[in-house]
Amino acid sequence: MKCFFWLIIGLLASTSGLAQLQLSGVIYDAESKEPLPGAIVSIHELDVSIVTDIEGKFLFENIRPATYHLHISYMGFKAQTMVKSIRGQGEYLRVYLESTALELNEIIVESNHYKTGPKEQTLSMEILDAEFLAKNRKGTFVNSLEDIPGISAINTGVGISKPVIRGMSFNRVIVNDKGVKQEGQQWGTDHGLEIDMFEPGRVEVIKGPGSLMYGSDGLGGVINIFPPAIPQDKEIEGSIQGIYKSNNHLVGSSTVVQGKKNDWVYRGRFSTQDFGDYRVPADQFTYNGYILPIYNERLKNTAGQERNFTLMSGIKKSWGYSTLTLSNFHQKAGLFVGAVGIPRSYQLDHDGSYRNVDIPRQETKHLKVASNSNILIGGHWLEMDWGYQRNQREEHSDPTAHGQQEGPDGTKEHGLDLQTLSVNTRYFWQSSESRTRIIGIQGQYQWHDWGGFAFLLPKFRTSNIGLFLYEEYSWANRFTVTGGLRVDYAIRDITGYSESDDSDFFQYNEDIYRTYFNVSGALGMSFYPNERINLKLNLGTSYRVPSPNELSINGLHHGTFRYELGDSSLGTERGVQMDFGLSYQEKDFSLVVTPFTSYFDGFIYLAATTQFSSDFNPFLPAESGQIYQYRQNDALFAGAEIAMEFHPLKALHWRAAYEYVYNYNLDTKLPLPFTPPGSLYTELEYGFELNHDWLEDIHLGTHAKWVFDQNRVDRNENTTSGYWLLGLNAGMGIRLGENTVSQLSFSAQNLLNKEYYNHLSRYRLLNLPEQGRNFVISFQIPFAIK
Amino acid sequence: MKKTKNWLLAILILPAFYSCDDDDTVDTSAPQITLEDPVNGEAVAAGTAMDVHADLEDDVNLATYSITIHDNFDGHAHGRLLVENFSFSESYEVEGTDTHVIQEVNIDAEATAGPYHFIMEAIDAAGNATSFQDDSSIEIEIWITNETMAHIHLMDANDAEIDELEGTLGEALAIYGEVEDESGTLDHVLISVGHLEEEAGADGHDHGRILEDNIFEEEYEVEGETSVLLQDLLANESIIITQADLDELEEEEHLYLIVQATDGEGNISRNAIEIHFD
Repeated sequence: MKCFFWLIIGLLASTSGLAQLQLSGVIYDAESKEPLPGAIVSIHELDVSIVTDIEGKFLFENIRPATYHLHISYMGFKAQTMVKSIRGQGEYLRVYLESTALELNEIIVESNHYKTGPKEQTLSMEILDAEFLAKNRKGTFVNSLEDIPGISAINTGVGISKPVIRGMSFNRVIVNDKGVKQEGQQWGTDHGLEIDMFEPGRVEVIKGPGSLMYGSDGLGGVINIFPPAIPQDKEIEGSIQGIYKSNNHLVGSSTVVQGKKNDWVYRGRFSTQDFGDYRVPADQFTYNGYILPIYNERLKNTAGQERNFTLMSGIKKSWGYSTLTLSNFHQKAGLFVGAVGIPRSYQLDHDGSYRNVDIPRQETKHLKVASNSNILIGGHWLEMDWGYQRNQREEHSDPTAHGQQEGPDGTKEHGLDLQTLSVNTRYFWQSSESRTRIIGIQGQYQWHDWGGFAFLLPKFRTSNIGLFLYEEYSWANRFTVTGGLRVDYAIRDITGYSESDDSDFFQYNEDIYRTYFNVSGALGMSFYPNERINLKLNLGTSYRVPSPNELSINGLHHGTFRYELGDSSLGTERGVQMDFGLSYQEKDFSLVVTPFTSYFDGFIYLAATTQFSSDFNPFLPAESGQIYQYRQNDALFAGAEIAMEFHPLKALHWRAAYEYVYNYNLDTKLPLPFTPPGSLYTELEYGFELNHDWLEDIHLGTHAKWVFDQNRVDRNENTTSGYWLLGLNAGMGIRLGENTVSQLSFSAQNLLNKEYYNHLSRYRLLNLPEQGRNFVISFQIPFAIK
Repeated sequence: MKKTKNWLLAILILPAFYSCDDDDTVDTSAPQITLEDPVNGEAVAAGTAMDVHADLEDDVNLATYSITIHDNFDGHAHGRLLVENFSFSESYEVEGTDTHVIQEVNIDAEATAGPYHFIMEAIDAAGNATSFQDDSSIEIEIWITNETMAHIHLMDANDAEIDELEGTLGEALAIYGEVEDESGTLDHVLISVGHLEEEAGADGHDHGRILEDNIFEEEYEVEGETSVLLQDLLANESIIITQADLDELEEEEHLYLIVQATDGEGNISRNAIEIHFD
């Protein structure tokens, strides 16, 4: 990394002879024509922002001649994004902001890939800021996104969850954390997303195919997680957050210290979570014909701990910026005792503690080093997101329960160790204010090793390289057209594995070496004849290279309660996807309808076979059940999200969102597994500013979610009845000092303590209901040292 | 604009169009198993062949069924594995919509005596499988006996073997008997009084009642002994059953005296007799 910085400094030196210009201007209220003090003006490319002074003025000095994206935002006004080519004498701007009551319009869209405003984009996107994330804080980062239309979560208990976008999950959703694709073991149902829920500062969810710019796996959608912005005016500042949840007595904390000194910026965060066994509104459940006890209504051994840290340092100059982030996620989470094998009543006796983590359990470590840079080269911007990740996952269970003697691995059943190197480089060629070209190259190299007393996934190495070209052109202030083309080449190199003893020999998988080549493309259009209406259409082909587990898995996977078998002959999964967006916006009303449909050629999924695993693999414990093998079938997806926001009064906010996904396997004539049921979410919130001595503002709200029956299920999958849940939330800003306002929030989830089943929960397979009533108290206290 | 509208129409119609296909008869129902033999609690001698009799039904076509036997020793809170326990796991092809299967299962002559789970599962030609979640897979407990395990004799005061115990409510039970190991030594004896899950009724094994806390349960370490008398072990105990205890029982449930002995080799034997009150 050191030489990388030298390279930048070298670049800096070579271009330092260039002229340094000024970018200045005034921000006005479009209605009253009065200047707006306190508005935030940011330059995307330099990752800097300033606040306008008492006369609404702002000034950036030492600006190099180039094209910049400016974001202007102010509470209560519609955020604006503008493209400015700054040459010659610099630039003086007058910007008029329109007032709005819609919170979503206040958020700036500053995606790294799509820099233009929301109306110019051709794919539908949800942008969530830190305030939304803090308000919707649930058990995990993924659960905070669950109420957004089109997004659901696959849960294992309360601490483990993975994202689902429009009914697609596992390797069909890309999560980019700081521009680097998160590579854990995302193929597993019980493998949660390894993200510290306190760290994201802003999240962008792209619904629909993201393969073009993000590569293989982006079929369902992309979740981009950005770190919080670094303050511009403080040398040292920070905050302490705390959270308590009544249901499982969770205590969480997150402390951040960050600052800026001259051109140097830094941030450090440390977060913890400690939780006990969670409570369900039932004292027994039925399985295998037995009524089994749930001692004191708490699910035995579902406690866990999390310790995460992030360290970031970087420089910001007039030629761009470069940051280096080191982070580590460490979670130890217990699994319900009955989750491995068949639950027996004698296992369910109380073990004396609600906070211990016994076996079965999983322990996940995710170390990541990410380097993010944006450098001005030749008058255009070169963006680089490079990363190294190591995901170490251990699943512990009792070997004797599997008919094996306790060996050197102890209770470690699976130890999966995946390391990934990623290189994403994009060159933004902004030939004019209305035309952008992006040339990108993406590379990834992975190596995997394993340990533990049971085989699941062999050693493998994978490499992918992709090249893409993306063009965006806007004209007449009402049309934007985007288009792109991508070529990819991928290698899957999997090492064979066999096991033998005196009497038996079993070949789990042979050596597999396969290469894949793919060409894909997309075309999009956005039409915005006026401020109110926006129509979007996106048509694209997407693809996904089979993942190593799909080619070679061979073992009992407790995540799905079945024996999973790969197929080394699988080919690339290809899709043709069509997405629409129709939006209508008034000052206090917004309606967004986003229908979609797609056709997949060779959709890969786990299909039931007619074979039992017990006499297939001689090294398997008895009672291992049916074999499920990865298979490719043609499939169809369709669905829509409808979202509405209305402010009958400025202080009153009403939001409603509906989502539905339909899918169909054209070969089996059945739905695909793990399809989220349709749902309707609505929230009503009343919030007002008080400007009292110590009470800054207050908000009170209630929300409800109706989840409909899921009767469209795959073979051997259970239907799940619908339910509805009620929640409450309240919050206030408490003034502690002149510029310090701390936030105190209170919320209640599942207020009526309903006993319900979640179709996407792993414990659904055990007939276990979901978490009961939960009261959550959280606070955030900021501090500024210098 | 017109073009956009056409696209839109296509989108809206497409799902409706395909959903018609759902009415096609796709086989999604799992086979049904009716296990006739063995029955829950049945004793099987090591070294003999056990005949499994079952009826398998499927609405379209059967494909495979499996028989699994593995020990359930952990279930008795000891969890010590002295020897490798017997386990059996085989699957068999089967055809048709209604088949009576008879399968011989050889119980290893070396099998450790004790409680075993006997599991039967089936898959049809489409891949629909029976499941534990909805109780369509069958699981019962069988007891394997062998030559070397301890023998438990339950007797009356006159040393005559009994098959039920007479008791009086409110008075201490008079328990007599002997646990002996002719070919080795004993390890421990577990004496309990409680209700016992009974043999499968006509409805399969759908009893669904948890074996709750026993009225009496005590474990006695008798390591190295070859013979012990129950009346000696229970010399300082008086087990009294009251009407309240009987009221706790559900209909069709009875109280049992259960004696379980583990020998030095890990064999578990059990003798249980019903307790009668006048």
